[in-house]
Amino acid sequence: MPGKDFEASVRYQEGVAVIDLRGEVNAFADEAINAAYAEAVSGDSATVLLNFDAVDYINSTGIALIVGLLAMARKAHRRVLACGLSDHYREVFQITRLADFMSIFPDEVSAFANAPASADS
Amino acid sequence: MADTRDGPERGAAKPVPEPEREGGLPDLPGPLRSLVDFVARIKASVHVKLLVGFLIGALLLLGMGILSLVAIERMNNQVDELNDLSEKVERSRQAIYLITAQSHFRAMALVCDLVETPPSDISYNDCAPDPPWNDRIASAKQAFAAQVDELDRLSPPGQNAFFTGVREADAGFGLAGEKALALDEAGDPAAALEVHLAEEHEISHALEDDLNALIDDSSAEMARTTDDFRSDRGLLRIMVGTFSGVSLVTSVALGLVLSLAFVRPVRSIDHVLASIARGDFSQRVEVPNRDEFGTLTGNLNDMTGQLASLYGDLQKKVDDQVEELKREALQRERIEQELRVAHDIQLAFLPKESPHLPGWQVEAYYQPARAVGGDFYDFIDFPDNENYRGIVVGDVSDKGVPAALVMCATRSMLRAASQRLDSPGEVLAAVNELLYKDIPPNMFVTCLYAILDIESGRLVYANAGHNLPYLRTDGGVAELRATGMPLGLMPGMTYEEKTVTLAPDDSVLFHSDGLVEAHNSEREMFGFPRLMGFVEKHPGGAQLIDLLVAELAQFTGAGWEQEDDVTLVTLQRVGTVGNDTVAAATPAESQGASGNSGRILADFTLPSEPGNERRAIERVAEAVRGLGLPAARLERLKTAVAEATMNAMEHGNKYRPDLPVSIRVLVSREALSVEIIDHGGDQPIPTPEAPDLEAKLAGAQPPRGWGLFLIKNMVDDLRVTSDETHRTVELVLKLEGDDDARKGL
Repeated sequence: MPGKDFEASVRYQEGVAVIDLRGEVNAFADEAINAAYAEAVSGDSATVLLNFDAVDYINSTGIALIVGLLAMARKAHRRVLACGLSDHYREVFQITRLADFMSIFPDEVSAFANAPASADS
Repeated sequence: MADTRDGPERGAAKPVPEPEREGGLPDLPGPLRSLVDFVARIKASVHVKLLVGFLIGALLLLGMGILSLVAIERMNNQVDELNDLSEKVERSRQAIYLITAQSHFRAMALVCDLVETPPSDISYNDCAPDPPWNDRIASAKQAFAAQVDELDRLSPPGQNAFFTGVREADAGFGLAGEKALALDEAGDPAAALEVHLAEEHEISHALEDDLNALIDDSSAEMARTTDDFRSDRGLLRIMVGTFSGVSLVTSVALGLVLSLAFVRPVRSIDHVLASIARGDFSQRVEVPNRDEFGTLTGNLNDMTGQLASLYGDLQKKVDDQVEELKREALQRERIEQELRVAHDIQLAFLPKESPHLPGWQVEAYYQPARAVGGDFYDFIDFPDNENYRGIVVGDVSDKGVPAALVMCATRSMLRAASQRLDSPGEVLAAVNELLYKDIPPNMFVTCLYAILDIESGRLVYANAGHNLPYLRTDGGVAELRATGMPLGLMPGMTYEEKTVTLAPDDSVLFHSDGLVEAHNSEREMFGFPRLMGFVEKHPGGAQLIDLLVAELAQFTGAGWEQEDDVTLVTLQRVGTVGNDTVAAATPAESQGASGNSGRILADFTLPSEPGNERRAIERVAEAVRGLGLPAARLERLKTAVAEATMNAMEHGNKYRPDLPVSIRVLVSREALSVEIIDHGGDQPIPTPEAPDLEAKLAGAQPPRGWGLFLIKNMVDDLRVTSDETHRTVELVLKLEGDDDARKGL
């Protein structure tokens, strides 16, 4: 579901719903990111991996979108992981303490290597 | 009003079903309905029908009253007759007594005279009464005669002969009595007694018999009269009861028939009126009435027909009007679409961005009065000499699409001519010749064309009747004058060419007449002196444009309808990168909001539109590229600039496109600062605090609210200042100890 300079697509791998984010995570990404999350949790996956590998810009509104998504996941007892963040946005996730509520991995491979696929693990 | 497509066909009368014709009244039984219809068909007014109905009821009552009076009178006569008969019987009995009394008195008087000693059963007083017997006889005789007279008076004329006989007998009775009295007074009571017994006594019995017969006759007459009275009394009862019943039934029947005859058409009229109110003009009223209701329903039917006709005409006109409006809306939409396309095309002809010239700040502002305008500006590159840059500011003598078309043509001609001719005056002259041939009558173009020597600051310019640019130097503000006729007016024109050299910090403002000729609500013009005053007090660049736009908005007030296109181009010489230029900068002119002085690396404005923070990032990153900031610091600065610009556009300027955000980048030996200025001078910025992420994740707080927190954590210092109009957020990155950045300086 494309937004302005933003796209989000969902795929499933090893029981994990991977949301591939591309472009700028800002106010224009609202509809697309929420639709992608809804699609991701429509299956049985208890773990959602946000792949920021193709994201080049995140502003405070984008942070708010991720907070909202994380809140929904926590309410549904789903685990949220993140990967592919640049060093700067990794720092932003630490400053905002988002890193305290979602495991952050350098890339998708390490995320799958270190994160259990099931929510109860 | 119901849609004709869904409702019944208007204009043609629709047959009304029976219940509807009855106007909601229950169906009437045949005879009653015939009667009601008969009354309704009577050709008389409602007034007359009602009067007749009431008259019938009144006549019934009157008849009953008259007959009752006759019966009562008859009964009264019978009572009088009974009274007379009763008196007659009583008087007859009195008369009988008086006759009997006379005879007995005579007998007593004669007996007492006949014998000296009265018999033992007779007392002395009986023989010597007081008054005496003869006086009593005389009195009784008189009384008898009076009774006979009264009886004669009470009797019908047919009994006159009877009373003549009674009176004759009474006369004989009197003569017999006088004879007996004379014998007695002559001393012969025995003879007197014989006369009395033989004559007087016999006559008295004859009279008694006559009177008893009279009593019998009267009693029989009383019995008959009593029977007649009782018969008449029963008849009166029956008559009153019958008349009352008939009157009641007649009144109810008349009321029912009359009311139905009047209510039925009223209900039918009401039913049809309700249909008309719903927009159904097909209903008609059909009633048998030949009274006012008949006239009324006829008029109503005529009116409904006319309404149906008018409504049909009106509906057709409305439909035509709606179709016309739809066509106009489509046409307007097409025109607006074309205007949007024209606007985009015209914007495509305007520079995408101001040129980045080393040592120069060039900024532009363009706001057409309509979707497309007649103002234009241009920056012309010279591929064979990059040290020169052409600057064009022009104004077509009209607005809208015609002006935009001429503007596009003029721009193309200028671009073409500027590539083959070096002299601004010659360029304008060449364009004038071309335009004169093709431009519509009454249209012309004012235009200023200047060529800047980037390195030396030399500016050669020629002017085809355009507003004079203002040059601001240390010595004050001066107009850059050069004479020349507007383009397209007359052929064979020459254009004066002038040259001026801009020193560091000198600036030039090119402008169109949309600014100085703007009027406020009191029809006062913004004017050249006011503009000149602002140029004199401000060094120029993007902040001058921002200031002028804000002053124009304040001058014209809310709801101003822009009269003409507004174009502003500023050219400011800020020197080249290097310590010498920084040192030469006047502290007052390059002082940040925090008081830090330094060299201006960038000074630009951005429209307040969502997403423009990315443009701010790019411009700031480009401006600080030479400083060699570490990548992490640069990324932090970019995030801080993006967040501060978003806040300025959203909260300070409310995303109003006419309120741009000004951004200025300054650098000194100690720090790099980015000033982001909006129009929220009256809106304080809250103290940045760490958001409560747990509360946001729990849904107790909204997920937004990260901007100020991010800014504060991305830069070394965050300063906020404001005046009545503007609010400035200054982002500071300290350069002390940052070897890369210091090397850049």
